[in-house]
Amino acid sequence: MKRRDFLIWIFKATIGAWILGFIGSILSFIKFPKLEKEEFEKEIEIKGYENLKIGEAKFVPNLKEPLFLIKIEKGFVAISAVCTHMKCILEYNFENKRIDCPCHGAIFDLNGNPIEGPPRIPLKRYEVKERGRKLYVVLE
Amino acid sequence: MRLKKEVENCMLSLNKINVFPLKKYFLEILILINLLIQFLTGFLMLFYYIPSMERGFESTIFIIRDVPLGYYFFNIHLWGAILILIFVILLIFKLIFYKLYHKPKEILWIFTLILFLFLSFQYFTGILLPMENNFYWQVERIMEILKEIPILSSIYSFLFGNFIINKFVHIRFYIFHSFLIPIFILIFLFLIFSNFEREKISPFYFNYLFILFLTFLGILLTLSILFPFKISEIYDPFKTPTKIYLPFFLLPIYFLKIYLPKKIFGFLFLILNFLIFILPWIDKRKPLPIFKSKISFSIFSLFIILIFLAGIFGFFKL
Repeated sequence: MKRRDFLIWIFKATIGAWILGFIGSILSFIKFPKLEKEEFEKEIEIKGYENLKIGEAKFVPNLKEPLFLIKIEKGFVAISAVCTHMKCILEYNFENKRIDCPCHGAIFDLNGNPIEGPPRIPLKRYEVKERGRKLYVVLE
Repeated sequence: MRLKKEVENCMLSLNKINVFPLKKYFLEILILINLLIQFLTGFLMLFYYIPSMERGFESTIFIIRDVPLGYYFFNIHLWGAILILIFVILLIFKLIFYKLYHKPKEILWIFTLILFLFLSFQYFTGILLPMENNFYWQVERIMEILKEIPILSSIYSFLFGNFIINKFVHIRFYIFHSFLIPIFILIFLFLIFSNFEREKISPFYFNYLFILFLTFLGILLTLSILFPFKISEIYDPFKTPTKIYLPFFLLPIYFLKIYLPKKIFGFLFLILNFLIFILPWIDKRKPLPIFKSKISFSIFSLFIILIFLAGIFGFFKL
């Protein structure tokens, strides 16, 4: 390779690297930042659960996973309030002790198992921790 | 006298312009007119829209109720979005029907498909902006479909994160809907139109064009007065409406998503799309119009009937 060709090649490579870096820096700026750690905690504290009677449920509006906190005889159960079929938000049916889906008429029992309708997968259950007087639901 | 001469000169120079023939490129010119209206109404609504999750709904209500003619601009923008998608789908059918994707024009076929992709993305990003509950849940449902498709979902999560709508996603949707994608659409429209044949101007060309524009505007106005879009309640991520309507072009895909297992659906969707993209290289027979050969015509009509049936079944399964 002649010296001139080599220099030209180096020049082209430099310009190419510069353009690549330019595009890369723009793309790294555009790329969606990771916000989950800041926005969603691993444990959520639940307030206002003291007045729940047995069989009653409290809807916990959490953006990552809306929950039902249901009081049973032994303590509390936390069940996901998102239908496993099409991600509709479920409704708690106090009279019949079950969870209904308004979209396609699915019915779940209080353990989260599907009884009727299109979904096949049971609802997620979450661990409930009691520390002193405070109640926490542990999200994965 | 001087003025008259200048007008004559102007008319003479007009005669030298070559234009796109109206009858041949009716659909394309209709798309162009529709896009013009979309750009105008969208640009005007930018004056009042506040891009934030809390105040988006409020400002949309303000546009509809209080701004003079805001009601018409809003509804024309939404109806125009649906009509333009219909026109582009018809254009794709036209390209198949007359086999206009054949050899020197493969690039036209690909540009048209990319235009359709951009326009549907424009629909997807646009319906989030009013922050209305039904539209919000439409976006959620479309995201459910997007999640299953391998390559598209990774592009989506590069740009918009983890399939959750928050203020960052909202402002990105706003930027993409009102600045980035329109620029890309303009570029692709220019590329499509640069492929077309031209002919010498007829003396009534612009009259016809104006009549077409007025007729189309009249249709849009009628639609927006008779069937306005309901903007009733602010978005609520914890309250699902009883029925979530999907845009019509997603109904066949929704049908596939319901009845197929998750992984198969994603790959099938990708493969089908890839096959459609490389259609000019698959089909290398004579570039006759499709209705002159019985086999290809029956395949084509069967294909269209299947898509329609899937769409109808998808609608009833919503």
